[in-house]
Amino acid sequence: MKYLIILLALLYSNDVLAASDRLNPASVTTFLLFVLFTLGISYWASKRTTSSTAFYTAGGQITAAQNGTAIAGDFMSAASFLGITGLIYSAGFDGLILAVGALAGWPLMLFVISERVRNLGRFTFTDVVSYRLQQRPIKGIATLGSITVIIFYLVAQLVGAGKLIELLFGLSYELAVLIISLLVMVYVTVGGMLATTWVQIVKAILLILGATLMCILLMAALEFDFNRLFGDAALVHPKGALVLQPGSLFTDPIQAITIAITMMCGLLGLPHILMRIFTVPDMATARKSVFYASGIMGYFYVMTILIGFASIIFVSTNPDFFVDGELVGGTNMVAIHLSKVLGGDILMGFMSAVAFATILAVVAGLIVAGSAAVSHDIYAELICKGSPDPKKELKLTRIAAVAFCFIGMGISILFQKQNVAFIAVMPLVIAASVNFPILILAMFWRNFTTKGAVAGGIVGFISSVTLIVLGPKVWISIVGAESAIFPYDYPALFTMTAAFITMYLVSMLDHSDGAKEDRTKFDKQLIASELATDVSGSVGH
Amino acid sequence: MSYSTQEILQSPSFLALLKARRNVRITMTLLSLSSYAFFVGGIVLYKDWFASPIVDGSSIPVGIPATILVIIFMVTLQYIYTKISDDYLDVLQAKVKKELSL
Repeated sequence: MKYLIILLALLYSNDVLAASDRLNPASVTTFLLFVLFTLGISYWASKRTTSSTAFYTAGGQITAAQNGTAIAGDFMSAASFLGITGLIYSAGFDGLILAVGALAGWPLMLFVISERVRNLGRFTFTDVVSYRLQQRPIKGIATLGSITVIIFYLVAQLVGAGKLIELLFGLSYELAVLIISLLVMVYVTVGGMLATTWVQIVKAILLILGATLMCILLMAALEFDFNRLFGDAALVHPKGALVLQPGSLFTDPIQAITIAITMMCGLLGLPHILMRIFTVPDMATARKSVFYASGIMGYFYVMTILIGFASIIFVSTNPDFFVDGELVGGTNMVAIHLSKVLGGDILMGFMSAVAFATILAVVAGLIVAGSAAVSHDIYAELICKGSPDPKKELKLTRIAAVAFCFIGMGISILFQKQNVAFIAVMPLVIAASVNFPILILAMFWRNFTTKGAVAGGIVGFISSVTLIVLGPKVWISIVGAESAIFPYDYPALFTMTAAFITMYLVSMLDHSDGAKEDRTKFDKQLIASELATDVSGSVGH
Repeated sequence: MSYSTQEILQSPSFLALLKARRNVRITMTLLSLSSYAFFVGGIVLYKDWFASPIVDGSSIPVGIPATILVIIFMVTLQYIYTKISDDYLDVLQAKVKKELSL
């Protein structure tokens, strides 16, 4: 309740009242109705969230179709809908690498990761990797990786949401981000994973319906002529025919390869996505969930291609969307502008609300995962050695949720002018360089040891954070330097390789008693992961 | 009767399950990676082909349908894997568990 009071106070602040002249009633009404609807879902879920198991993993009772839709909802975030369409709008064909890249990790998730992880019957990504490795050191590095990934991912969502609210309500970006953070706190503290799952399901269905409607309307406007879609886009875009060709964004092949690897491998190390595998009752359901999720996402990404190219035609040529030659809200808002062109204020309000609910639900899911990392992995497991004070653990969960919101807010203000799809790739670099190598080697390589995991994880973490900061996106755009020290935005090709090599070398050189124990435990893990002998533990947690 | 870790690991039925799963996983993973490599190759190596029209006089470049085909192929692979797992690998796993009384 206190968050709602703060929110109401903000809504009647001078900034908001000053902005009220610029409000679009139809869009805002549609938007607010949708947000209230999702809050209602959160309230409904809160009545059914009676234990920590229900809070973190929805009690392991979500069906495959529900979970698949929720996973798709998690991944069809602000970065996907707003960012990829924005990138296609500004760069054309090269923007497609983010659409295909976002999907490329899913087959590997299904074939290589999902069953083995689900069968181990564990709670979080950190729990999974500490099944056979020594708990305290591995939990330290795995939690560090998870929390950093969550914070960066949070920033991408908050930038998207901030821009959306700024555009829709005419508020300042900073105030918009503050309001969103408060709403997220309500979602997280009230409903937990069950609420975020149901919000994701509803919003994923509405996002698919809304995007489908947009595609039908835009193709109708072009008389269902695909030649016209691409021909007209090339005709009006400043880059001309180059917009239909690879190379307008990635002039250096290494840049394209490193981003492709980042997208694919990063997905496999995203803690909040892995956590969704634990919300279903068994392995077959987990497998079907992943298949449903990628089917929905595949359809969605095909639609983003149409929406991206259509926005070149309908948005870039419409003077209503430009002020002083600048696109209102930046390129992240082209899909929202396009919805206005195609369906007027109602469709714009609907798509804004769906995009906003997307962000709220994704951010809420991230914060649940981040809070679990702090209260469960660090406090309960590392500090209290598995015997925490439940009251203190719950209090810490809430404090962590608030802290994540404020950290995300601070960084999102720095990144406000960046494309959200690009920001969302940054956590994938860290996930690909820290979490992914640890997870894949822990699952499949018998000689892998705790020392190897910790050393490689540290190398992956330090190198990825350092090279991201020294790369163009931060060093030029944020710091303001004339040229970047490291030439690539997303260094996973280098940092992931460095992490793997370090893990291999240190593990091979490790002949300690701990290493022997790690290798012996691999056998037990292999049996559990192939035969699901420990799976009962995951349902009950 | 309960079996030790080493006995399970050396059990022919468990080894057969491991081999079957490994073969399916490797084949599917390689197919998936190949399709992704084909797409990335279009951006890095054979840009001109990706940029050329699908037929003379068309505005649609080869890269667009190629991208959509890669997406469809990846989803189809996952459907095939799910079917193989449901109809074959899970049955094999149940057999192993029954045999080993797990």
